[in-house]
Amino acid sequence: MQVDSRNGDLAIAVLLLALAAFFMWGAWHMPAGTFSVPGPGIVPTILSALLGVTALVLLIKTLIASTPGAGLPVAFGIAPVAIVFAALTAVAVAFEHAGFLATLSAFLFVMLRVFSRLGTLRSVLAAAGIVLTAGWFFGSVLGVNLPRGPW
Amino acid sequence: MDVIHYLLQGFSVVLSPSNLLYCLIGCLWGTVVGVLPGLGPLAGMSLVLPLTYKLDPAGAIIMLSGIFYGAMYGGSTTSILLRVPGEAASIITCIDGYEMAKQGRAGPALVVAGIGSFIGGTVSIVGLMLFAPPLAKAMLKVGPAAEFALMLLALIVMSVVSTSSTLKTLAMILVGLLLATIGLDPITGLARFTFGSMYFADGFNFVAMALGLFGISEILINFENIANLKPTIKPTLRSLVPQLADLKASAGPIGRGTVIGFLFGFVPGISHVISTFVSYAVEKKLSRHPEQFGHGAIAGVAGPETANNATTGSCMIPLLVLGIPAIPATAILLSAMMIHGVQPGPQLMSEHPQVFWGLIASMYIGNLMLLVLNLPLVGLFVNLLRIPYVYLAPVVLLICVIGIYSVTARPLDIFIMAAFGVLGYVLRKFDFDVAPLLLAVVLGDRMEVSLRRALVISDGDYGIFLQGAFSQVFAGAIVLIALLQGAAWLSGFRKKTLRDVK
Repeated sequence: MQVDSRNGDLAIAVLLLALAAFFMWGAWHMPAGTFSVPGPGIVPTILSALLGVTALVLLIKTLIASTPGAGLPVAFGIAPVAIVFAALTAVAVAFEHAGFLATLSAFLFVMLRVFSRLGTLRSVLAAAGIVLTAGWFFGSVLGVNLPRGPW
Repeated sequence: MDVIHYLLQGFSVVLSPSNLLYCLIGCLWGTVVGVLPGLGPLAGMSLVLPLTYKLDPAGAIIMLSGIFYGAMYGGSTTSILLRVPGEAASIITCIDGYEMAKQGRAGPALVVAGIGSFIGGTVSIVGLMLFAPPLAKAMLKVGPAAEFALMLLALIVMSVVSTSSTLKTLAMILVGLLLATIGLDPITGLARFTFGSMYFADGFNFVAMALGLFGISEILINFENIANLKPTIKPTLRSLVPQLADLKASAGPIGRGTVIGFLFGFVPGISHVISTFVSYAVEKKLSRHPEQFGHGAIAGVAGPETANNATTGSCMIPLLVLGIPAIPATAILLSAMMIHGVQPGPQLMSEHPQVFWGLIASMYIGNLMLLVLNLPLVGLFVNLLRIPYVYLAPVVLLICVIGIYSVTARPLDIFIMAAFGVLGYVLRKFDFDVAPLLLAVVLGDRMEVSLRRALVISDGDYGIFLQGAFSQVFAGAIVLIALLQGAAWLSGFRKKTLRDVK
């Protein structure tokens, strides 16, 4: 997928504005103190105000400097990004419930099956082999405490 | 004499079998991540960081720093043989290194890069050894006001030298500083932006952020870029022997590259990358045959490769003496030190001499190891590129998951890592440099503490930031940079420089 760099800059500037607003809102509820004796809220307030101004300048500059469609096309690999993010999120959810062997084997199987040309059986074998080796190395050799799950 | 005495103590630390092994592992892993495009020193260090928690502090720091300077060595290999920079500091080596390889002179290019790296790295360590102790002594007198000014100066310099636009870098710094405010207020203990969750009491896990922003985002980018890299040029051991003329032609560039690299190591941001561009420009300017540059000039390999290694020693000085990481790689080292209960700063030398002098001694030994190992093993390292990235990346992701879980045993950190990975991917796609964000997260907490402490000491008088020699020097530097930056904008110099660098 191709995204115009101008649109990307605009989207990020808007996100930064939203982030600044969020931090400003959060800091609003904290004791601000005074400029001479700053409280916990003063630094986030100043920083979010500065971020808001910076994001606004970026937004205006991008809008003024170029016309729509004038930016460079930026290639986005939406599918790999979405797959990796979803798989890592699934690992985060299942890791302690299903244990590292089952979770990481499933994760590696998906990664190999999707991104490499390995067949299903080979992917299963490779995933299981690599995870068992990693489990032995990290668990037994390095003493990392990995969750075992119900097994 | 004190320096020699302490250095000998450092050697006694590093020459223990276990620390020698950690040094060797660090150097080898560093070379591997330097060779593999897309896995630079940052990703390499982030990946191994959680695994070092089981080691003693000296061993952990020795191994991590070995990865840092090992990657600088390894990066040149793929630049010369494939025209693919293993990491950012080797981009400029592609130009003349690959041309030399095409002319059948890959061996001399690799050897000169190796020798230059060794000399640059070693001289830089001597500089670190000589400058760090007196500087640390002086820094003991620095109060919170000067400390705040110094950290502000570091962030300002970073925004100036970053290759992305100043506005974008500034935005990244501010986001980093805001993220650093998440957690308990360092002065009053009030919870900020934690939503009542204990998870965020200490803020975001730095390792999860670093792994996401640099490791995961790099993998995501490489899924698009690197399908199947195949080395086309494989040097034989015999071809590695350089001719006397090559060594003679490289002597000057290596000497100048050492000085340039050492000086640029103090500059926060991407000093190791900038130093290579400056070195290349200087060599081209001084050369009697500038027309040869771009067509296989050995000086175009020797200078930049020396310069990027010469930054490794001097960029450690701000970290070890001030406790301020100048570049993201030293931010990872800072994180490792803190986890091991070692606080870098002026008192590091007196409180943890085995870590400080052990690190310096290990850098001497590591540089020697890299010189001895790299040249004969160049074929092996190049063969690493035969492993298709589609097999390598899933295994690296697996190590990331295990590594991050081993830090805190909290699955949420895996999600944080993934989220910062996607964030880093998107930001990098649109030319937002993520290194300033990470450095701002590291410095943010301390900057706020310094600012508020200084104001408490001065009873709310902001004049404290201009009192004392250190504060005045740092404040003067900030004003000078602002003036120079303003003048550069007016003359259009910055735009031109950025265009040239890109």
